[in-house]
Amino acid sequence: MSDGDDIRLQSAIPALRRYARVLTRDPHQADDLVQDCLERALTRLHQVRGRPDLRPWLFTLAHHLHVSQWRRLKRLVPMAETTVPEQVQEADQTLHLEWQTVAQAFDRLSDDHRQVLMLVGVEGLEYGMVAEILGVPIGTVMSRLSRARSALHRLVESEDRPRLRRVK
Amino acid sequence: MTLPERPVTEDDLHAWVDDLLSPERRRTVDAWLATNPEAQRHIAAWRRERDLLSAAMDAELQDPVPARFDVARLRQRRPQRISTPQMAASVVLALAAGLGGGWLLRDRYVPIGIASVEQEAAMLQDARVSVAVTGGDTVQLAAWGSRALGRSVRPPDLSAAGYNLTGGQLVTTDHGPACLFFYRDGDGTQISLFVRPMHGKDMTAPMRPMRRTPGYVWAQDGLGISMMADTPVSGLHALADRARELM
Repeated sequence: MSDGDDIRLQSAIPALRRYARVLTRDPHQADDLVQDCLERALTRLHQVRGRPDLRPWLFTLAHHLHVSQWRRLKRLVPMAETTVPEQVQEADQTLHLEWQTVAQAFDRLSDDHRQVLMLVGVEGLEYGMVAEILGVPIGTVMSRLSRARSALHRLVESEDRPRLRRVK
Repeated sequence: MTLPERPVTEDDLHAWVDDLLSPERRRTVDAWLATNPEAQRHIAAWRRERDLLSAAMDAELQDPVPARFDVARLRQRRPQRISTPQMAASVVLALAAGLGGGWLLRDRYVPIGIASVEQEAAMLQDARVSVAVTGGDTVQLAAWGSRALGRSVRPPDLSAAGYNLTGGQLVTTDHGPACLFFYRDGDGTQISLFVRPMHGKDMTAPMRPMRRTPGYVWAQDGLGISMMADTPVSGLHALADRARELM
């Protein structure tokens, strides 16, 4: 095992943690997932020796782990689905930065939608790669992406509106 | 569009947003967009929200990485050269989920030596895990366990005492992978044998009863072992002695 692989693995950890947070919606659970994922990655690092970007590989591991491990736990807690917000709280509407609005809207999306937006839009991975990570056909990635972008946009709009009224 | 080209699809619009179009296709899509203001508005919003989300989430990349994710440190903690079989991989997780999520003993006081074997074994017993590898015979399970632990491990044949091997499960502990072997007697009484490599301390340790769980814990040949029963079982001590002789 070369040091280079270790360094590449280490440098991918912030992105892995971020993806794990998207998967789990909980920073503690996310780090547990990261830990499992890294343990697994260390036993298999030879499979990706010399690969410059370990993120897709790590995301695949994390997604696989998450599906088999955490979904079961999540069943105990109500699954969050993409929903139209009932009410936007009055309190934190001042000085919303645009990206906060988007980030809040993102949090309301379903797990599938958040993952695809994260991998495509934030990590900048190609659709085929995202399909591999998620273990679905590329057509599914595209339809999820389409629905996710529409849902995000609707949520951003609905969060924007009260703010604009207030500013006026 | 001047040429009889592939019509522009919604997939093209997403690829436009994500900068994944070839230059030629991009020209085609741009030309199409010029005549479709509605689509233009859509992709402008998608693009904007994509970039904002990206900016928002990039802040997370700056979070300091906890020491427990230090690769060199993680590597040290692992036993040498384990090669986890695919099958076992899914199994670890089933168990972790059963434990309420996550890494055994994480962020708790972690005892070392044989006390840690006891704690891990007792937690697994509490978790009531399901059998992951069933129907295997002793030889198969021995091969499986040895691959998982990266060293030779053989579930003892306790059939003479009336206990037949029913399966095994690979689990994760704070000290690396461990194997659980399950036995059952004719009355359906189940006992389990927890086995994992020891690291430095308590490479051998005398057998003693476990404190909170009906069971015994010991170490031999660098393996920490615990035999546990679901309910108090008469003769468990003798059975543990027998297992120790056979391992």
